[in-house]
Amino acid sequence: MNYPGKGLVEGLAVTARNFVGSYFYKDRLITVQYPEERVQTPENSRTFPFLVYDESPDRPRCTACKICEVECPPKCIYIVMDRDEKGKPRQQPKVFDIDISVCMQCQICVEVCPFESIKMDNDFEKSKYGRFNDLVQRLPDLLKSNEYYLKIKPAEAAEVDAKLKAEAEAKAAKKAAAAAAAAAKAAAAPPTPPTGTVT
Amino acid sequence: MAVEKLAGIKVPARAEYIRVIMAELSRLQNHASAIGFLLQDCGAWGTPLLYAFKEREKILDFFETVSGSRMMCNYMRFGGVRVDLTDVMLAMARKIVAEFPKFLDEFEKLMTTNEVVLARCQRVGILSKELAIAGSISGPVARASGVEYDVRKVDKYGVYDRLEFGVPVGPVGDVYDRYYIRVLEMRESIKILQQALRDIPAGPAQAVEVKLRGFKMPAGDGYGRIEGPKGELGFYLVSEGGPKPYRYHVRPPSFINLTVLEDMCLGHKVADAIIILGSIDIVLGEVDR
Repeated sequence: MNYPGKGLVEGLAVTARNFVGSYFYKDRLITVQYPEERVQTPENSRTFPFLVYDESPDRPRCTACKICEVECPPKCIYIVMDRDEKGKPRQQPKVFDIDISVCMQCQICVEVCPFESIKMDNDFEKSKYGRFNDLVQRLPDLLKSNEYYLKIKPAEAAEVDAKLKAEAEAKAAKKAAAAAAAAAKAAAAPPTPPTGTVT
Repeated sequence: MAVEKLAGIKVPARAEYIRVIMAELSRLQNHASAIGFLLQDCGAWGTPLLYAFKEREKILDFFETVSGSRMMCNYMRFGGVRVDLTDVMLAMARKIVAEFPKFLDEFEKLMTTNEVVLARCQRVGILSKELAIAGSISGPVARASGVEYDVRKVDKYGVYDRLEFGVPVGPVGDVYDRYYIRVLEMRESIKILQQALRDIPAGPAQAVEVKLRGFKMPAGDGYGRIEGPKGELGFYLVSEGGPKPYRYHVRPPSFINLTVLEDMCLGHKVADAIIILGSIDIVLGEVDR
């Protein structure tokens, strides 16, 4: 059967079905009343980077090696290494700025970090009133505890913790082995009087 | 792909299948929003657009679950993909693919035979086959003009030679054809997805020999291209060896498709220019690089 305006009538039937259906079927009513209701974001979801610390914010995992600063595609990271009074590097950042208006959330900094110190947050409510400086995240804003990381990404953080623990154990074992080897060497080679061998 | 060709990296089969799944899902979400915007451009406030976005949202949620981000997934890697798909994710993808035809049927009932759409779109913004070839137009815009050219069929990159799908071609090359080609392409994409999700093999999702930092390339040049949702997306790369390319050029689909806008608009009303522009389906971020 074909009559003029058939397409229009069928189209209106579709909209009517959606309108009426939204009162009865859950899959036709998909609106979420945002500030009151929230959708649970998946664990992999990412927004902006943050820095992890273990015990206290004074000792972040970050060693200011600047690998992420170099690798960042839009160059939104700025790092200055901390130095003590004598000018010796202290292996932690003095300044660590991320301009989140420039950051494109690509996760490359996370992938290149050799110390598991920079990770992706999933907090998306970062809007600010100012246009320029408000969107630059300074070191205190970026530092977050390992517990926070475990809370937002349980599986990934547990994996990282296990890896760091294994690394620390391997390091300790190596140290112990080295110490044992040195001790064994010392024991094996009796303390000979330094005769003739002058270094 | 240019990098893989140049460095001779062999991509594992599972990674190739995952790439096909992700690429076809991207095509679905891109075309869904493109055809949704058509009536928006005609002046109707968003009803079909929101129906299309409802469906698109499910695909974007899937992307977020897999890769962490909704649009800029940063998921493909030289020699594979960044994270493997788990069974839960595959089940999620299967659910999307199973439900998508239902949405398409409903959407077509709303749009395809609608007299307003026909009046606004038929015989508007005709792009001739000759001009499409001369202007090196690619993607759905070229296919709507009758150019049977699809990089997936021509190059048979990845695992597309193992999958069965058709390339729809339009008869006239007007705005309506461009709309309808996208609907047909989505149906073909669903066919591809069903096959890929059925055949996906077990195995690693990333070639082992590739590192992210300090990746050494052999010297030479390579061109890799794919059939993106909007047309042929190509990357030309010249390497002198070492981790950074010497020259790097992108062949953008939207920018080149946009060049024929003037020829299509001549002789039509100003109001028609908007739907003609909308039917090319450009992304301005890519045009204005």
